[in-house]
Amino acid sequence: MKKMFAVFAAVMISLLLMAFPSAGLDTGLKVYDDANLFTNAEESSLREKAQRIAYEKNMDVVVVTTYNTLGKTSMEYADDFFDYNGFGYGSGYDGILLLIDMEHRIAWISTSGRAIRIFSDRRIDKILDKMEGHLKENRFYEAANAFLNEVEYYLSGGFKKSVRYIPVYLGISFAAAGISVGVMASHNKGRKTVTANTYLVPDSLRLRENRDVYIRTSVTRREISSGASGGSGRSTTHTGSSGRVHGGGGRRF
Amino acid sequence: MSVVVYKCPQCGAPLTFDADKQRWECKFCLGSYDVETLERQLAGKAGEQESQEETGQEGEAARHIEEEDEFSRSARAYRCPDCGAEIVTDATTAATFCVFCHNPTIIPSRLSGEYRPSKVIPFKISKEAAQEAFLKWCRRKPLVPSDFKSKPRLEKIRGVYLPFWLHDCTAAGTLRADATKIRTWRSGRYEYTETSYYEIYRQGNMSFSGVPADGSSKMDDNMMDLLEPYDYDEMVDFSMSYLSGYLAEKFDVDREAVWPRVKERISEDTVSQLMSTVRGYNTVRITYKNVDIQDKEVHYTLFPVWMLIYRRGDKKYLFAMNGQTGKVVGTLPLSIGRAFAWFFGIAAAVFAALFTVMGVILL
Repeated sequence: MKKMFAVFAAVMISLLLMAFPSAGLDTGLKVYDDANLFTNAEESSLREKAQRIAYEKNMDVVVVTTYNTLGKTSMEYADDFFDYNGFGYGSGYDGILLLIDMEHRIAWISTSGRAIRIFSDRRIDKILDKMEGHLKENRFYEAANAFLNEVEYYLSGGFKKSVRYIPVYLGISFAAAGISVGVMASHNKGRKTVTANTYLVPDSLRLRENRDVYIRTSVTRREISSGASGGSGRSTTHTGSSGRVHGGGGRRF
Repeated sequence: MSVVVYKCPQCGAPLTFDADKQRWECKFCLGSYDVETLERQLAGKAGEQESQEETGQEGEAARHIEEEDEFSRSARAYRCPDCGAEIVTDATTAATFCVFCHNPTIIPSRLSGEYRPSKVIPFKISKEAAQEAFLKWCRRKPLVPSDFKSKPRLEKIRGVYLPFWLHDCTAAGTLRADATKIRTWRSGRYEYTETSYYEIYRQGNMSFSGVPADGSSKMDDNMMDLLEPYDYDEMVDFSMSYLSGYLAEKFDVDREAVWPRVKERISEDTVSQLMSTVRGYNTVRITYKNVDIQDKEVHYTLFPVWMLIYRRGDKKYLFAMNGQTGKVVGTLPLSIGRAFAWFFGIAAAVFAALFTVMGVILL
């Protein structure tokens, strides 16, 4: 009876393993290039970066590529890869995973635990925006790199995020300083202090004709672009086959 | 050719007009006189003098005038009645000082006939107050070099009565313009913009009084325009005695020559008066304008101006101050170092503020 159970368990485990040929893999590697999209050097560079971010931010960061999703959708494959291989830090399984699905040519980002809240739908969309150009031209390393950069950005504190906008701040502050100094310099000259009223005899204005004639009216209409609107902080979620909740989003390339 | 020195009726020392007290002061016997007493006492003395001069000089007068005419065209020499030294002046100087005895001296021939001003605004700001006001003006400017703000460097400050032509007139203006009112609103997925077109007709009469134009070719027109406005309520009938202790210029740009500038100015003011009645539009574009100026009247006046010359290194800077209101015009030097300091200071402050605020927002 005990043996029966052992066999049953073995079958179950092997079934699970079959679903993921790479099951039992080392969750410390962070980059799993099953589709062979990266060179060795690229892979180790991405790996180093992902490991660093995961360590610094206490948030699992995973990049997966594949040519075969075993009949699953990109979303299911990404969620399952994350859940069944034991990714995710802490009790909430905090982590984010990028799947580059070459079978469907879809890039899917799956979030779990704390990452669901941090990576709202809008932010995921923004990350995908940054990757889309590279993916369309098969520059997978650049796409994965952009993903890691964005993930690190959103996991950073406000001041670290602020660093990204330094060129904008510089532009604004130089413009403000330039205008202020220009105004100061103009003060070095005397300014005009008379107006059109200075020499007018008070109340001497008599209007002999004062007509405003209405001619016509024209109306134009313009469609309001919907791109600007949309919730900023919402994260839509779904439940994966493992029963755990995931957020995420993807894009065809 | 004679000059006039206003003398103290008590002791005979020269009198100068004091801007602070608005009275004539004698520095020797400390006598102080207001307009009425001075005029009354001087009128008595002048009467005596004239009657003395008239006797026995009549025959020579005609010949004298011819000679003097030629003389006055080339040399500009007068004699100081006190020390006898020659007073050399510009052709337009009407009041000055004797270089030797420093007596305030007035040349009446340059203030009579067509050169007689009808009105004058007396100095209201004294020399000390003018210096103080100028330095205060400099101190308020952040980009002025610090060594420019010290008193000893104020090299020269001179009170000058400058000739101004004042113009009174009525103006009739006609104006046509295209104007639009724009309204936008949202409905569903669309933003609507409604533009209503109007044609504007305006015709109106108005009066202007006292539009000034400087009548001295030595002075920069733009600089003089910036000195305005003067307060005409303090304008008084002209009396040479106000000039005592100051420099004065007679006009060398006549009323015909300043008219184009004044006309343009009145036309602009007329149009902006009419435009000020066009209200409630989003855009207004003038399509036709015409201004007719009538009933023109011109007055010749003298206005008080402090001329300040400031030396810094090899460069001289000229400033003018309204002798009534204290308004200063002129271009101060720019300290490049200060400009850079302010530039980077402001840039750093704005940058730090942006960085902090955005950091908090992005948290």
